[in-house]
Amino acid sequence: MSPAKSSLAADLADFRFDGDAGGVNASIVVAPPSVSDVARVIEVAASHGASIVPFGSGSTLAPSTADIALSTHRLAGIIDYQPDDLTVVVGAGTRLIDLEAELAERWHTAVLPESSPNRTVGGVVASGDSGYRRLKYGPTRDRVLEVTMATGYAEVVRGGGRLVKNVTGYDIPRLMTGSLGSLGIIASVCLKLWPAPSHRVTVGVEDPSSALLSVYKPVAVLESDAGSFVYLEGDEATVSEQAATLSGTVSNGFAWPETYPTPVTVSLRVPAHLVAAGVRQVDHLDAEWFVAQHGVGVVDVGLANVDIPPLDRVRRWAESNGGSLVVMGPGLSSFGRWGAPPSSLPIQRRMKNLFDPSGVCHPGVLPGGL
Amino acid sequence: MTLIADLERLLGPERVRHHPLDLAVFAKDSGVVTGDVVAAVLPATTQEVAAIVRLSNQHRVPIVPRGAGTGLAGGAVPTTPGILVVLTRFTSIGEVDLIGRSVWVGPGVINLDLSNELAPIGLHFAPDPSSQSACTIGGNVGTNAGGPHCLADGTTVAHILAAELVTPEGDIVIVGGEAPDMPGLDLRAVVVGSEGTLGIVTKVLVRLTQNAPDVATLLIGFPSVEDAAATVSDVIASGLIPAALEMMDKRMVAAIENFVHAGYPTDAAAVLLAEVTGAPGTVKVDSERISKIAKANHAAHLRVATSDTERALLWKGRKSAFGAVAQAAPDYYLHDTVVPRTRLVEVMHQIYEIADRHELTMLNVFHAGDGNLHPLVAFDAKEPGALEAVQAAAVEMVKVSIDAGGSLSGEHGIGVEKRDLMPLVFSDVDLDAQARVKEAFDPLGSMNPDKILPQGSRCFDAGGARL
Repeated sequence: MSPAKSSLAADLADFRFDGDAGGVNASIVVAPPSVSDVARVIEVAASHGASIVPFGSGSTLAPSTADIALSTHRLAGIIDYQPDDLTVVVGAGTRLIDLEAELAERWHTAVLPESSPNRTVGGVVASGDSGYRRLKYGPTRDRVLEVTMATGYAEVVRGGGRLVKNVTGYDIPRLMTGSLGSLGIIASVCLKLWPAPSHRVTVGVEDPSSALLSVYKPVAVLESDAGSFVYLEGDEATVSEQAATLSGTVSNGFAWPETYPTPVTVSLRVPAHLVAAGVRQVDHLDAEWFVAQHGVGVVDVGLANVDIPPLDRVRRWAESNGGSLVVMGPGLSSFGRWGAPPSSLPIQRRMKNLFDPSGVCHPGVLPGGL
Repeated sequence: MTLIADLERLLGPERVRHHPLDLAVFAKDSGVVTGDVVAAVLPATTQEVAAIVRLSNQHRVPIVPRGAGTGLAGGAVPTTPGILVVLTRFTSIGEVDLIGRSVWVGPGVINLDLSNELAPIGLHFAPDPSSQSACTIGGNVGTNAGGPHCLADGTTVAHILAAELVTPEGDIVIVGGEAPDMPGLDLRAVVVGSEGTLGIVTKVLVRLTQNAPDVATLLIGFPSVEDAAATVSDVIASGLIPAALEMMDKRMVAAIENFVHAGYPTDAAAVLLAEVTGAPGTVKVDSERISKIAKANHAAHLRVATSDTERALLWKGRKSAFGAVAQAAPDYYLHDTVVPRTRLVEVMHQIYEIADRHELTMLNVFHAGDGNLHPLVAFDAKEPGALEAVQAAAVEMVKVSIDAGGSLSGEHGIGVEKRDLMPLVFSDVDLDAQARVKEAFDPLGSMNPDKILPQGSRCFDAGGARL
């Protein structure tokens, strides 16, 4: 170990965590207990020219290599739940399952991704991932009302407010959502909540596109190897009535498609009218599983064996149609995570430099190597 | 060559307005701020906008984009002599994607025109500000506009999927995309609501919302403001988010009734206008639930509009509120603070007290469901000291809202009007972070300068001495 590294470890001794690094390839793991301590870790890292990758459950865009892995698990917990305002302030390290369990007692939901309940709120917000209910409720980004974070400047910044409607200044919360820790590390967020309806059903359908057109505000229209399903919620009479118009098999509750970990997961994102075409593209990929979100434009695909040329062809097909193919997990360093960089890359580069001038925060994670 | 000559060579003299009369018209929006316009230009293509931006950079004259000028915060008013880029000629509406429920439109398309155009295919653009028959989609993007129906559907940012943006350096980029979650930072989200300070939006991909199969509009009169506010809280707490939940006080109801005869109960201390949408069964269940909650809170008058004509009349009343105020006084000052909806009653009390103490005529009509207050002060600007008194009271009203956990603006934006109040909500460090967002788009500070952030917000240079 070089002398510089050993003094970095010494300088971070107060925050040291003896657990695993959540899939981050890092020699030092820290778990600061407050946002000001997160800022302190950034300050120490910057003074050593070191890099940091934050992690919650460690499920998101790994693999990453950094000098320091920063666990958010000491930033867990519900900070301020206002049931009558339908808002909750929650620490980044809080697991989705714990938050939703607390909210469910008041028949509320934060509408966070359904498929991996052990993920953390900070991880979901930083990755910008939205769940299957996006068709009705919009993306996660639309529910992040306030964010408290430590930027690459080692300063504590609050953006937005604990209000369901607010246009006071530039929208820092939405900018941070999906920024993958590249501008700073999120310590807590205020989320907008929704009432959880009393009745939910899953209806099998033959043609997801026509179902999408015929039902009023379905929660989701998903297609997988198991078939196509429409998800409806509301009061019992209305849900039954809507389900009847679809003339498919109705089961109570939401039965989400089954997915399981595969060596590689890719997310195909296309204009919503191309989802059916996207599903046909998946045929070229030897997929273990796929879930297509009709009306949204996302087709997630699990791959066991990756053959780069067909995957590249699907990526180029997506890009030529205004979309993208993003590698979600480890295992494909030769292929690149993002594909073609956005036309706004010069602005993105300046934004990165203006929030993280020393390149401390998850360097290289954004398109264009930012 | 002079800037005007350069602009005229680019656009022709007809689309470069610099006659004193034109300049006077374009120097204001619908608020109380007057600016200084060098020339108002009317481009018709993205390339023309980019060329205008490059010309203004060469001449070092700032640029301010503008739609219909219905904004209230001075966002489209040049505070230092500037070129006003008026986007009302961008009125194209593209082909609707029926599966994705989206369409590319020009920023000059009028909000209500778009929804009317889409009515035959059962879709609409959800944001519906009171000015919707005049305001443009581009202006809605600029202010992240709201409206009564944003309670359930969210403000404009939730309805903009992508935008073509001419950057302050004159480049053309797309933020967001036709596909969701495009790689990289979500610049679309900061462009929406940035009041034309990050670039000029020349094309917008808007998300469209299904028209509801059924709708019911309830008009409910209460003996007190407290009872109406308690009903709002109880409805939300019961797990129901109505499509709209609007409140009006007695004075506003009287003004509206004199103006449009919407059938509002003039003897009530407060009136709620609630709307529920959905499948017919849902609408029946939800409107019964609201009626029950209202009765438990002493509702004295309750009517459910059954016909489209009756519904339209109830909404005409609500949307005519600001016109109705013109009867009370020649000018008005409209607030836009937002508070946690559970704090509505106490903040309302404080706001009435402030208006009384300043001897102001105040009427209230607001988006109660999301805590967005719109105290409206009617006055005569020709009376010496009147505007100053109104503005002094305004600062007090903002402060009581913020003390209750609220914020400066729910849907109108900050512009220049509320700019210097930003430190009431954000720390120096918070404001500096916002100033860096601006700088990332506009390193030279040429695009609609001096808006949103108070001067001196950028307190240290990039790579500076903090570390």
